[in-house]
Amino acid sequence: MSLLEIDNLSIQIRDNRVLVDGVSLTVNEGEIVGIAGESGSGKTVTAMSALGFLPAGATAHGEVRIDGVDLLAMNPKKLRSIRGTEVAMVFQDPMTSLHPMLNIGTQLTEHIRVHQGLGRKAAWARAAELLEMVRLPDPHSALSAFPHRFSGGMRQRIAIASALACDPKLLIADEITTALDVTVQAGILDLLNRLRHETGMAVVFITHDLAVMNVIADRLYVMYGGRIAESGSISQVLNATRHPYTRALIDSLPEGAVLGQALVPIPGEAATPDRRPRGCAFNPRCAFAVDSCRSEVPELRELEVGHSAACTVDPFGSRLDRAQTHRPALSTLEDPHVAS
Amino acid sequence: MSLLEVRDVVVDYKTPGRPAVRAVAGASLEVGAGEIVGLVGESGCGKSTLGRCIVGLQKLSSGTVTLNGVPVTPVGRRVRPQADLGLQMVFQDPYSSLNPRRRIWRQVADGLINNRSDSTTRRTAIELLEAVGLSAADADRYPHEFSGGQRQRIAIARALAPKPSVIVADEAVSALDASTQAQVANTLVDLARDRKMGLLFISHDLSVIRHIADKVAVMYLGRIVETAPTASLWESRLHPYTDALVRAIPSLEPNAPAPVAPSGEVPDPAAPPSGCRFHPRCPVAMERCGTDDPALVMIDDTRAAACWHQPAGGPAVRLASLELQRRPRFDNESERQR
Amino acid sequence: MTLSTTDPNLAPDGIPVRRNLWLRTRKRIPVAWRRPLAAVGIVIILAWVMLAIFAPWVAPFDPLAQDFSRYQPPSLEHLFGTDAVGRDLLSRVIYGARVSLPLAVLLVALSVLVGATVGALAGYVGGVVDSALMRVVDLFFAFPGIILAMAVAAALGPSLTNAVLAIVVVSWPAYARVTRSLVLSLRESNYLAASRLLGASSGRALIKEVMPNVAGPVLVLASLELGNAVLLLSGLSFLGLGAVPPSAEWGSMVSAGASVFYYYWVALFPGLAIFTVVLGFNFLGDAMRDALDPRSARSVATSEL
Repeated sequence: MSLLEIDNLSIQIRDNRVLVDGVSLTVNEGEIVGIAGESGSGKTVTAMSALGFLPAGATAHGEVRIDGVDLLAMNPKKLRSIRGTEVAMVFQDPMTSLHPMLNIGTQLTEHIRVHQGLGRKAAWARAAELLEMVRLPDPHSALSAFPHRFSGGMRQRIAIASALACDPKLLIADEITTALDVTVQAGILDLLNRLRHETGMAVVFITHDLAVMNVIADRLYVMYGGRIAESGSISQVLNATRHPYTRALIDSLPEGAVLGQALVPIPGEAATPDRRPRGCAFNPRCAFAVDSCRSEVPELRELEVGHSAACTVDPFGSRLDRAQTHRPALSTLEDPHVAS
Repeated sequence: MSLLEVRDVVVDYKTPGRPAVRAVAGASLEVGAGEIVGLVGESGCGKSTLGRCIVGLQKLSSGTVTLNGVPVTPVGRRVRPQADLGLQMVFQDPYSSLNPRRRIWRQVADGLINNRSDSTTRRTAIELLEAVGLSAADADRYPHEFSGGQRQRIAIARALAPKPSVIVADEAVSALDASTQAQVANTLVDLARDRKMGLLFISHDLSVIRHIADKVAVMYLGRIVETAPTASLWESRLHPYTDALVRAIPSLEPNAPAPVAPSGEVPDPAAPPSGCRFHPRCPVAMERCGTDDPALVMIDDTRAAACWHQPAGGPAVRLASLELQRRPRFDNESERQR
Repeated sequence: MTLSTTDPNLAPDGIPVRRNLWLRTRKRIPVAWRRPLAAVGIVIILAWVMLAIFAPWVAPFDPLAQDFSRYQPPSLEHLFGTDAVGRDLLSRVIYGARVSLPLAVLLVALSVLVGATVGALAGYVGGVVDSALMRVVDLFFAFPGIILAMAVAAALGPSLTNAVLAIVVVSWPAYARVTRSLVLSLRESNYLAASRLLGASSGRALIKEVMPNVAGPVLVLASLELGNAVLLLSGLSFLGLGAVPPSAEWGSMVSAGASVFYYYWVALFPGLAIFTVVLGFNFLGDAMRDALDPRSARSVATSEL
């Protein structure tokens, strides 16, 4: 049994706007699973459902199971006992994730004391332990400091510490490095990876940045228009890409493009719940679309073990020639990432 | 002489009751006609402040900014001089760079020098909108009806109206989605090349800059620490900070090693380290680096660096060949297991 | 390559821009109706405006005619009864709208004019000018509103014109403060900077870029203040500092009826008139605030998920 099972989840809000449409995904213990997509793809709503959170006024169908128990059918009291203890979340904006008027120690210990019933001294000690775990310099004096003294990267570390307080089995990280500088991001990614190995915690990592996915995630779900476009292991989805959207996304990234040539953007605008095309959500922007793409919603089909894509045309599939899907290498000159 | 010349610009922020903070501590660069220069640096390095200084939205404490040899006047009480209209800016936030209460064609038309009859002006404004990929049907709409990427293109059209010679794009694509970034960046590049405009592209994202810029200037804590043609920068870096920056970028290559974080944190600009500003975090720092601050010097015809390892006039020293001393690391480099 | 948002392939409407705008505006009206209070407010005020305009045709009698028996209780002939000198109260209440409503609007308009100008100057120019102007504003704020109004009205002599002037004197500082803080925040906006970069003069930028964005919130405040204006005007008249008898003005009518509580109708109906008008303006102000906020019509949950 997987740690997190999202089973055919659909979420709608008023005016029949579909945020999530028939999404299924699994997360096993100790895994880092990525959900990639642009804004409007439904990735955040899907992840929030793992905490039992639904947007205001939304109706949901399907199940979201943590250790086999459906969260969507759970009573609020039980749900509250799971949030923060078994499943925890860290958000994107480090500048607003901490209470500006309370010192770090108070914020961390409040959480610990509510869920673990520790006394003040014990909670404070545990808080210091957590700050050490996230490699915050000088944890003991950090406890009495206020959030404004810390940079964005430090605040994310504190937010991660807070999420770890009750040893959650699953951590949802929603664009946690998007607002950070690249050098700071590298530190946070390293931290996350280390924590996963030290505690066996599973992570759902949400981002639109496929290069970050490449270095942090084991498996990847690519979402578009509220549906899953492609899923599989990192090497399957990024190196043996089968869905035109994933391909187009990779090609539009500076890291994925060919040096010396212009960046190749995806034409048109991303589908949002307000404007979702009929049939395959990606069809207006797809170079391989045929008539049936405009009327039928493609099923997510398994192409090889563990690798699925939702495309009826499957333009990259029938070719045995790997060169068609192989991504162009970065500069052939000295590779900055290889130590010399 | 280049179109835009920035020499030794220093910007101090004074808040009452506190010592002045030096946001820019002596920066110089040049942009030629049709040239795309990337200014890259992380938060707090002063690149946006420098950008605003260049166009005149921020007063310099010392140094000069000249456009075609004529010093640029800071924007103040008076109307901006005609000569300065050739220097325009595109801002970072697409949601606040357009007036929510005015139709977009009117905002684009603001910069047209000859604002005669309404219909001619409107036609020219529509031409500008079409040049950035919007249509005549969009002219009468309001900003909130457009997406972020479209708003940036409207802002570019507005900046094009006075036929500028140089555009400063201050993180113009940073607030956009990945694929939209590519669209808007391409628009800027095409326009710059077609109209022989200089483009100073300020960004924290080295990957985007790598794709569009001819020349790159790297900024750290208020100083420019390295400048080089883009291709040579990727081949080898001369300054340890640039090297650290490149090593921190995650790669899309299969089985790529994990990105590496440099040790320590960016210091507070109010209390910069003595000597070379990067020395506390530098893996190859020498004793001298703690006491003397290196100037930005030309290493060869096209490259400059501000590092004691790189002698003025060359020859360039390969960082890889320097013995990398193991300094206490903030994060241990971990081997990723797949 | 044109990347316009009207893509025929999209499931929602692919209707051309102008018609789409009308449809969107029409969609906004149901939003107002979804908030019943706003609808109630609009109805009340519209009703009073109609009454005021068509008073000569609607009112059964001449408001100044003292032809009837004094202190008649409400009856079929005189729905609101008669007052101390035999005038029909219903007619007087209807005609009272002709006084209170236009004066309230005039009052608020003048206050906004003076206050917004002072506030905008202070916020935009800053420095010494800002400090000086704000000290003047503070000075006015130091006095309790009604007391100051009374003092000014007493000094000028009882008349409706003087009452209006007195209330303007008391009301303008609030608009100055609001406008100033709005302008201060808008001063840092990028579109203002862009406007200056494109060669606009300081003054032109203030008028073209800043003021349209200030207008919205100020208008909302003004509509909320309309109710207050009616109240102040009636209040001054009640104290004998505004309307002079025999003119039909609600405040003075309440005053006249206050001393004869046994004849409850003399004070009750003008009082109810004031009450409903103020209530209507308050609801209207809320409606304006909701209508002017472009985000209120759209669902929040769909953004950036």
